Amino acid sequence: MPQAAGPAPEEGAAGEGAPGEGAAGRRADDLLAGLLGLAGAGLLAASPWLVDRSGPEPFYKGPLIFPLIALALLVAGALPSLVRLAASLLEGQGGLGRLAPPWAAVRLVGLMCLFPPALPLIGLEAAVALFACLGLLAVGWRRPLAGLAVALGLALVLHLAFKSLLDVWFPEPLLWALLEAAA
Amino acid sequence: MIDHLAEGFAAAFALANLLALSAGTVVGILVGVLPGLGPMVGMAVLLPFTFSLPADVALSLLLGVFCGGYFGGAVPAILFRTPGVPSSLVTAFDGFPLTRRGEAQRALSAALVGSLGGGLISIVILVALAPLLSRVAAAFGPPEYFAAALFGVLLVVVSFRRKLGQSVLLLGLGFWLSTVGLDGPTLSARYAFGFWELQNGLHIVPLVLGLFGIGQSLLLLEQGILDTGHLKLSRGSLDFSKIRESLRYWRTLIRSGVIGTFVGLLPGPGSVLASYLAYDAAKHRSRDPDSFGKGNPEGGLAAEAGNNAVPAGALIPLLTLGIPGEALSALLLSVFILNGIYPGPLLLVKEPVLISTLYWSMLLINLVAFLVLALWLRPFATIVRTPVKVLAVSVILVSLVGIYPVNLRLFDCGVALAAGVLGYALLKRDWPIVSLVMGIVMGPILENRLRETLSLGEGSPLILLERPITLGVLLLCLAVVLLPLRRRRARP
Repeated sequence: MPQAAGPAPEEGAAGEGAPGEGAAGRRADDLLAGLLGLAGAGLLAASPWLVDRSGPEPFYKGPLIFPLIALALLVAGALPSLVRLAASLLEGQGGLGRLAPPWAAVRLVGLMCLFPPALPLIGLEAAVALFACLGLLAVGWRRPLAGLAVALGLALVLHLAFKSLLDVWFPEPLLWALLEAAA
Repeated sequence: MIDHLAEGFAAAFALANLLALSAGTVVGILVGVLPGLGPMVGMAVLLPFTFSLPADVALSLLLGVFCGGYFGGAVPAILFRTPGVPSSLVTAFDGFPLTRRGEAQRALSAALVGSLGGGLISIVILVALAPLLSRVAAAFGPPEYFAAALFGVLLVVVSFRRKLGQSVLLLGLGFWLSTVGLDGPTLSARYAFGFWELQNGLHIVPLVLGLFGIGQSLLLLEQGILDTGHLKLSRGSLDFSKIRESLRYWRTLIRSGVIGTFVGLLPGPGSVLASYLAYDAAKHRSRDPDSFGKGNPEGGLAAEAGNNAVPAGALIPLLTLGIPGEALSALLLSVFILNGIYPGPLLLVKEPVLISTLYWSMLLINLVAFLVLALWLRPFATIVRTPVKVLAVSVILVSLVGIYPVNLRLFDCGVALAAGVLGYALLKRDWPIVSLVMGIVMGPILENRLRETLSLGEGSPLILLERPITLGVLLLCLAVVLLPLRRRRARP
């Protein structure tokens, strides 16, 4: 959150791109818009095959009209970026400059992809405690005892909130059941 | 009417509702105080908790976060010149200079009185205006609804004039995401790619939790911890003797509350514009405009009254037309729909007790937020010291755990993670993510209204031009698109 220094800008009135990144930032915006636009164009072209139109309705009542409008909007919104991207590629200025990859975020997302499968495997509390510890390590937290306390505290809070208070059902930990059966 | 108000009063003061609105308010203040989070993250994270709650209690919980966030955002803006929510940026103009002069209590009193006053004034306007608008909207058929919803969406899109391409792109993406899965009227599968999980559609909860809860948390990792070494508070709670001084600005309070409510009523502009317009009006009406920006408590009061009036203002089109003005009320709309309640002109007739409960709850939320912050000012101010790494990991885990019980599907956690990556990219690049949320929430509503309209016109969209209200609204749409272009051309 930037510190307040001058008059308030009108919401949404800022220029394209995150502030302070110049041409490389604008190219990153164009690249993101271009990728979404191309994906949208692909879906738009393939829509007649990706939507089941076996019903008897006329087109205007059918399932295809609104997705087509949605994807057309998507592609229309991406068009200026696609044009700029094509122009910059033709001029040989396609680089993104020195935009550093967000490694902490990449590590954390990669780790959290394993959380959903771990939930039914080791149960809510163990999964939360384990992934909180690993997550803190992944983002560069260097105080193991404090990290452990945070992880156990979080597991306790989520247990109390979801299981005790809201009575939400979570799967029985499969691993514990297997170990019990083996014992 | 009186009976409904009494029933609503009883429902609002029921223990479950009081607990929900208090919990929501505290969470709202927490996420408002913490720069980088904000009420949207709080509402998204609490969304799964609402499934096991009755509609009125669920709405009180989320409204608590909505209003509490604006209350909390003023604290770091005044103490550290770092707004907790974007609209508190304006509060910092005068709040921080006052803090530097050792008058933080004066600034905080003005801001909190402003927040409370703005909130209360906007509730009065909501109670008065909603039935009037509802009566007008009672004459609406599908074409009028379609035109009104189109107008609402258009206003949001064009409010990001300098990011129009991104805004249109995200709106289209949101609309498309809302179409994935089985189509309700025809039961046709759309974009399922052979996966049965996709046939059930993309639920709004994982999408919103991913975009805001996970996306914002990932972004938080790149933001450093605030320098809070110079926290200057003479006492742990608010100095109540300063409140009387703030009440001297009652005219500014009322004016700012009215401005905030009407800005909130319009889809698109949002709380930043509300607080800025209220601040600007206070400055122009002041006998000492030069003192604004240098530590005039009236400025902070005006800005906070303006931004805290937005939630009740935003409820007016939401309750009467079913059109959310921005992302936060779009999320509220999803809670209504998930509970089988469809906001519109008949809502005030069909669910008068629910509406009355909401009015009372809003009133209570403003009082609770004021008292909680006034009594525990220092603890809330020191929460800013929470390490961002702990915050980010905790919010992501709470989000993932919260998503699972929605449909008991691990697939939803995957959707949330994917949405989180997209949300991170969009937030980092400062794209108008509000348009995406509007698209996801408004997509099904617009699609249904479009089909009904086209069915009435036997396939011809010209039916929209044959009805006076739709024609008027479409002309307004045209004006919204063309006027900025004309203004741009007129500029040298």
